[in-house]
Amino acid sequence: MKTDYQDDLRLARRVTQGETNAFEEFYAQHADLVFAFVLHRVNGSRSDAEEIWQDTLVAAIRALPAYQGQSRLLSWLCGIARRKIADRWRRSGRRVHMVTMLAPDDLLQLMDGGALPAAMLNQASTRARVVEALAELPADSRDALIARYADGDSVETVATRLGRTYKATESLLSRAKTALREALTRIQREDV
Amino acid sequence: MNDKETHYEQNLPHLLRASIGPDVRPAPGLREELSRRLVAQIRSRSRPAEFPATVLAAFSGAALLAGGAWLAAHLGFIVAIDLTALAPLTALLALNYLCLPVACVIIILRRKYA
Repeated sequence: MKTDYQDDLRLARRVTQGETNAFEEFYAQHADLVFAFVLHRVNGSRSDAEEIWQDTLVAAIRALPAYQGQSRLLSWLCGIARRKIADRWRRSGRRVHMVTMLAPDDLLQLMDGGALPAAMLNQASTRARVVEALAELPADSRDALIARYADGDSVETVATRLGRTYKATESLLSRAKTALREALTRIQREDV
Repeated sequence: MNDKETHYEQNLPHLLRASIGPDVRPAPGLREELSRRLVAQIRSRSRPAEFPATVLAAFSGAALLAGGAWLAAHLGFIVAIDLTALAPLTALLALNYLCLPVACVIIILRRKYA
């Protein structure tokens, strides 16, 4: 079957076959991002996020043989997380809406216009949207952006971690920023 | 680089730190614990079910009985046609015929379900 995300599909197959290295790669690339996604989607409740995150990854490992590589692995995991969140709200009889003071559609406009308002940065829906946008990027672009901008590593450190030259890392970061911008444009606002 | 791109570049670190920075990551202990749990889950699934010893014993028993019966019939035939001089050789041959398939089946099963 022809798929768009052969690298993710190969990784999933290797994990399913019980390759320890593959699992470590899978976990390192996805676990934290899934947690962040869940945490933002439950409006920052760590206790809820921890349970849903664990349920999500346990269910994902169970369902991994069914993954066909038709979306990024991280997007697929976010889909499972969304269902787990909905299940939890249904069972508990409560429903948490992400507080949205500013329309996510304004995000790029605000980003281009000057310093991003704190209200936008603190908004769970903005943060969840950024994680979803990151989920659409190839793993190396995602890792580079996170290491450089979220962790504040130098370009040299990122280059060493990714096993690339300085120039190649700069160019990867430049492409990754553009790709993230495009992904942010594509993602539409969704209810939990 | 125009103003728009400059602002985007300047905002990106803040946005990424807020969305996926160290403050929004799972506790290291929990992270390790879940990793161990998932590894155990994968291992238990990728390991094939153990072949039940009773089934293997029953299979071996049946094979031996069938082989024994075949050997007895063969020897009976030799005695009946009075070729007793050839009996030891034929018995050895029959034993070979019996051992070979049984050994093969046991090896295949052990490899598959070890």
